[in-house]
Amino acid sequence: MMRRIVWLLAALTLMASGGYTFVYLYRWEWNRALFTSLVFIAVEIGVATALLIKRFTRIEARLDAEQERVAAEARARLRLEETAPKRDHFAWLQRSMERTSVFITILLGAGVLISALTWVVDRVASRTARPTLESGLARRLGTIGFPDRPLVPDDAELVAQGGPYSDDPAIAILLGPRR
Amino acid sequence: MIRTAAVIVGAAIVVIVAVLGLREATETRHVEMPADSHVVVRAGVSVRGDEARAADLSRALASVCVVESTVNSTLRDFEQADGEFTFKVVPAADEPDRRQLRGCLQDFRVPGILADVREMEVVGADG
Repeated sequence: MMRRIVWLLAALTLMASGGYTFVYLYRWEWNRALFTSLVFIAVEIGVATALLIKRFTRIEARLDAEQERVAAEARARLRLEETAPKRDHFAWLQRSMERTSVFITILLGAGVLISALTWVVDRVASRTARPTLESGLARRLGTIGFPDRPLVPDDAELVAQGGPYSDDPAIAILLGPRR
Repeated sequence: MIRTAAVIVGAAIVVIVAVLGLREATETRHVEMPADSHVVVRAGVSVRGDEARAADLSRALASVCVVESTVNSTLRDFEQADGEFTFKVVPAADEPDRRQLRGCLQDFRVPGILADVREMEVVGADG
């Protein structure tokens, strides 16, 4: 209410001083015209200043509201961050005696690498182990194989062993173990 | 853009109408006044301070204003009596000059004196 009265008074003063300025100019009353024009300019500056202050106050209030909104958002975000469970992406690296951490990606990668490595080993082994195994097997089975010589002495051996020189050591070496 | 143009056109119309309407009342039209004509001016005066200075101050004010308001006229027959002074302007001043003379007498800043023109009578000419 008070503010409206002030604005009304300012408007009336503007109109009166402006009107009287012209009246005094018409009457050749220069000093009075100067005075009323000064009043007009002073009130005009006051009104303009009041309007600017009003506008600035509105802008300031809007900025304050915007700042408050941003601060409220920041506070809400902070609360969310504080209350939300924290995610530790490298928790599996921490040493713990209570639980066993598993990193699926490393497991999968290691499995792939190990599979590849075993495939290579398999391929290499398949190429190299067979001859060795077969030769070893042949060596182990050699003891149960047929002897190179016949299992029974031939006629010539029998004759030599039964002859008059059968006790001669040199002849025995030549003939080999008795069968 | 259209709104601004409308405001400009409206303001121009108001100014033109105001100028045309006030032209008759505000335009200065000087006329030649007869040499034997004169204007009798009667004005009230209030003096602040020493009343004995009233005559000098009033005469000074009248002299200044006659010189300032009229080109070829002179001040004659100045008289001062009981809060009032009268004088003649010879030859008579025309209407714009009389208006200027009245304004000067009532508004000119002579410290300690305030005049109030009560009568301006043109003698020997048509107002």
